[in-house]
Amino acid sequence: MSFKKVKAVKADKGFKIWDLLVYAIVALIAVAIFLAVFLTRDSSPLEGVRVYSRGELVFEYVFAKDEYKILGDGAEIAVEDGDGVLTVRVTTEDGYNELCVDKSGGVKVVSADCKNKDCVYIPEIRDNGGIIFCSPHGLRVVPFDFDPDDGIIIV
Amino acid sequence: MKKFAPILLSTLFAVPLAGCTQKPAAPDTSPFFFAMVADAAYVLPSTVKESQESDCYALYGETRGLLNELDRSLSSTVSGSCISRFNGAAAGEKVELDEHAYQVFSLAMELYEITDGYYNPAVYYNVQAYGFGGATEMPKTEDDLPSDEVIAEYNVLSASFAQVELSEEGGRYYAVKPDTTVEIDGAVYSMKIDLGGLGKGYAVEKADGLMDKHNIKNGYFTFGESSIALKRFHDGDGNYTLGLSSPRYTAGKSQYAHTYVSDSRLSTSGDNVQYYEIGGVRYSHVIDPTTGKPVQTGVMSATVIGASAARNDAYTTAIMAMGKERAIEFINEYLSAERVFFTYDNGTGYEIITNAAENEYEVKDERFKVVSKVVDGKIVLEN
Repeated sequence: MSFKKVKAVKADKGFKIWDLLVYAIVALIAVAIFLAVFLTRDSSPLEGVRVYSRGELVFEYVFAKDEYKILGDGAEIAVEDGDGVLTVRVTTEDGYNELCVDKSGGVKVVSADCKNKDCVYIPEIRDNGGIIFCSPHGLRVVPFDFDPDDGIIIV
Repeated sequence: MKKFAPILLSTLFAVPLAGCTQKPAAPDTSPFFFAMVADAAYVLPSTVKESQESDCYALYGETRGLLNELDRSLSSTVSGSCISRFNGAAAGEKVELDEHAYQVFSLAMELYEITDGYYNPAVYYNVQAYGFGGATEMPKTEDDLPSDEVIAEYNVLSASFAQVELSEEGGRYYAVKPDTTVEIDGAVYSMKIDLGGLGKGYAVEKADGLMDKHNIKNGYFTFGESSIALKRFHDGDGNYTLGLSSPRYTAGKSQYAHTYVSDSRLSTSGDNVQYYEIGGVRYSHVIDPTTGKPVQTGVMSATVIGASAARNDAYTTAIMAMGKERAIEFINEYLSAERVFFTYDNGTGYEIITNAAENEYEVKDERFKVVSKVVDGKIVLEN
């Protein structure tokens, strides 16, 4: 850039009217999206959670029925049913994630042997708007709507 | 333009997120929390909730009131409940009960007799000593387990259950605590009871009655998963598929059998629900009243489907304590009108013993073998 051009830029205004307009539009879009995300976030109580390992459904728990199912062979599932708490250990050849299911309506990853342990720091899911994901282990913990119409009761 | 890139990228990712979390629906079930044991809920099909909305709300409201009332009566952990006052009373003291507590207490005494003491709600201290029933600590090593001497003392108290005297005087109800006491480490103990299991069944029957009152013919009421009152399923032949949980689960095998039921009340017990293992021995919350220790009879779980959830609760506990042969005799003598399943670990494999007809169930786990057949309505073991 020539010295003359630099001087011309320095002499120019900081923002032109079109710059300000683009900033304003982007800011409005960002605010609108922010509001859309938070206002439409599903904050209804957690009815059930499903655990997927590498895309395969391996475990589900229904809070209202205090009922769990171990599904598929995609992971080794160890469940310890305690007083008010269900401890679920999901083990694959990639490693393990240990989930704590609070029977009053919450689920959290409490320990894992993945590298960054990001999943352990994800806040507890307590409504249908949350999700927990462990990228290194391909683990997903997602809320689901319990289906009272399936006609199956586990005792 | 580079200045806008992060904002635009976040915009692109945020738009789909905003759309996929929409869900306006109200909860499908109505969980109730009950200090006595666990949580309870109605599970009603969408058709009922839509067509009988006002009935459902009335049902939920009345059930909440009922469960609070039962909590105040039957819970051994709620201060001031009838059972708490009975437990806190001195040996030989007379305690006033409300009608719920009197009815459940009377039923407990009847079931104690019928089961020859294999159902005994007075194993309170034994349950606590093994770390269950709200005990603060669960044993972790053999040293933490209660000694045989202490258990023998507790057994003296539980054996005095038959000496409880119940009476009704002018519309008021009373229970007199047995005189029996024991002394352990300088402290004097008198008998205590826990009617939680029977109370759950009793609550289930009351909830079933409320469903009748509000003309709800489809759906079910479940109490902590182990006591359930079923109406008819709203589709097909009206039967629910009841998945009997495997007491020794392995990946992909959460149920050992399916059976098909409607318009029933059922209870189930298992040594896989609350337990721990020390030195390869499983210690579950189900206490054998004859030993005062967690059941070691080989019976792993029991399910009884029939008219009374409260009675069925006591029967499942008793079957686990009786052991295989005694349980079969008992079922043949007293439970021919009920559908009973129990599982047994014979040391080399898992057995299913049932009085259900072959077309009433389906085995879902090949590790479990049916070893009984039904002849003239009685269980006969196959050779």
